[in-house]
Amino acid sequence: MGIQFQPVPAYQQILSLEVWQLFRDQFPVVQEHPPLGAQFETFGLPSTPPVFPINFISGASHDRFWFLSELGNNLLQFQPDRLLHNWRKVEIEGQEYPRFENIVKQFRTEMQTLEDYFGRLGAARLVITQCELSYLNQISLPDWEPFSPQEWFSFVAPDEPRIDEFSCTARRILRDEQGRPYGRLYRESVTGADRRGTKVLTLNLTARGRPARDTIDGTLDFLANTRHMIANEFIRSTTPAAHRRWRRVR
Amino acid sequence: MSSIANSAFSSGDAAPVPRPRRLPEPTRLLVGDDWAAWREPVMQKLEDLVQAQSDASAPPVRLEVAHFTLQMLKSICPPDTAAPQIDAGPAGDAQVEWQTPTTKIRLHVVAPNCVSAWRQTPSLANGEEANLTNDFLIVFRWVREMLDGGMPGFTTTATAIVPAETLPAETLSILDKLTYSVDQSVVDHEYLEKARAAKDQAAFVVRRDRLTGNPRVMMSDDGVLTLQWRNGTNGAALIFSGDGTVSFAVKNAQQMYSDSSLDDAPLDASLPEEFRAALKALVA
Repeated sequence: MGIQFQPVPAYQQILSLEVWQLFRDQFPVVQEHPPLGAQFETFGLPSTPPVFPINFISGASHDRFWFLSELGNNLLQFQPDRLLHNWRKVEIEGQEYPRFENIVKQFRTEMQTLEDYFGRLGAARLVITQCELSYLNQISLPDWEPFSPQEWFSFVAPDEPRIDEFSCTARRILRDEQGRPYGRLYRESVTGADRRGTKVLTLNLTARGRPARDTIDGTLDFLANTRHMIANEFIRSTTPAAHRRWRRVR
Repeated sequence: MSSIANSAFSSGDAAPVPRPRRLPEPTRLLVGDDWAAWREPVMQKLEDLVQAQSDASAPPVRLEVAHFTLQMLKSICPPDTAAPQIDAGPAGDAQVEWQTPTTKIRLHVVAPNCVSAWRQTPSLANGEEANLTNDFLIVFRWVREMLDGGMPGFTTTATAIVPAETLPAETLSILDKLTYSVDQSVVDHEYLEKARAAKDQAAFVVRRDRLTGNPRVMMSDDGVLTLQWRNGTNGAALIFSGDGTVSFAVKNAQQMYSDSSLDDAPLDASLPEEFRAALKALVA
């Protein structure tokens, strides 16, 4: 889950150490990555998403910092206009999915911590322009033989012949109670290989859009609402067999 | 996994092409695959505006405003649309305009998700306007009408439009006061630009939130504009410094303005609840 916000003019990359100090206790490992480009969900002319996003790079660019937990299963990503909290399954005995409620509670604290820090730099508050919630489900396929996507996805015709590779993306516009668009729900299912070269099937469900209020509370509302949309989309688009393999938990 | 999906662990491939670590290097815009006639001149202009020198007539357009402007135009402009005129505003904002012999369309991108749109056509002599966030369907229709030479065939949805003449009378009255706030005040010459920016930014907020009542409009000699509503011991004030921010203050029997002020909030931020409540009570 994550937010994109208006950069604070007084913040510069040289202060990134101070940002890490805010979270260092829980995220003692640091990595540097290229920054994510700005993303905005806008509506009007129907269009297909570009293969490569449009991005400005102006002057010196700020790194995207990965602040990792000791076990590597929790990640906080920070750049001047982004804060993202990710959880991933790693091979640790007894590790359990921490539940949405726990992650969002922690993310709330992290947003508030960052807002307080920016406040000390003179910003009134975080002005949040975009929120994002993603569920990434991945499963290893037994081998590199052709497979039947309809075993996993309910939107594939039952008589579809076995195929070698699979890629399918759908986008749905999210609307508020008055019918006004504010975001999109992306469903992306694709075959690929993991780091060990094992064939994997990935289902990625992402909701992204403008929160009704550009505040932390507005973000929490967005995350709570889209969480249910993503859960429903998962149930709708996958088969009972897939639910068992992905260990759907009610 | 394509770059459209998310920013999670697997998103290393979603990042923009990293800039080599050497200086100096010009601003570059990395573009996707879908071609449009307006794209190249718009990107070039936005690059120029983002890189504007501090001694230019207007400050540089903020990078997030440039990003949002480009994304907004993608939602508005069919591929054959002529590139609009784009200029920097007084506070890192951007102004986008098309003008034909019969139609004017102006978009003021104050910040991401904060756009005021206006157009004038022969049948809309007084113009019509809309305050928009990230839904630009109405402007897409305006542009289509412009491309079609004003031919009917596209109906505009009424919900998003705020025709100028239908703003509340008190809102129009405040806007009138603001119009003359600079000319009728004694402002030091060096602060004139700042005063004009403060006036424009105040008008934006008044229009956006359709503020009513009968506030005093005060311009200081250093270009700071204050709107003050009063009723007995109660009061509410909006203070614009012309730098793209607004400060809020509320006064009542328990607190002075200085006790409750929220300073330098971004112009596009929504009005704080405490201020809204105080103002509602004052103009009731």
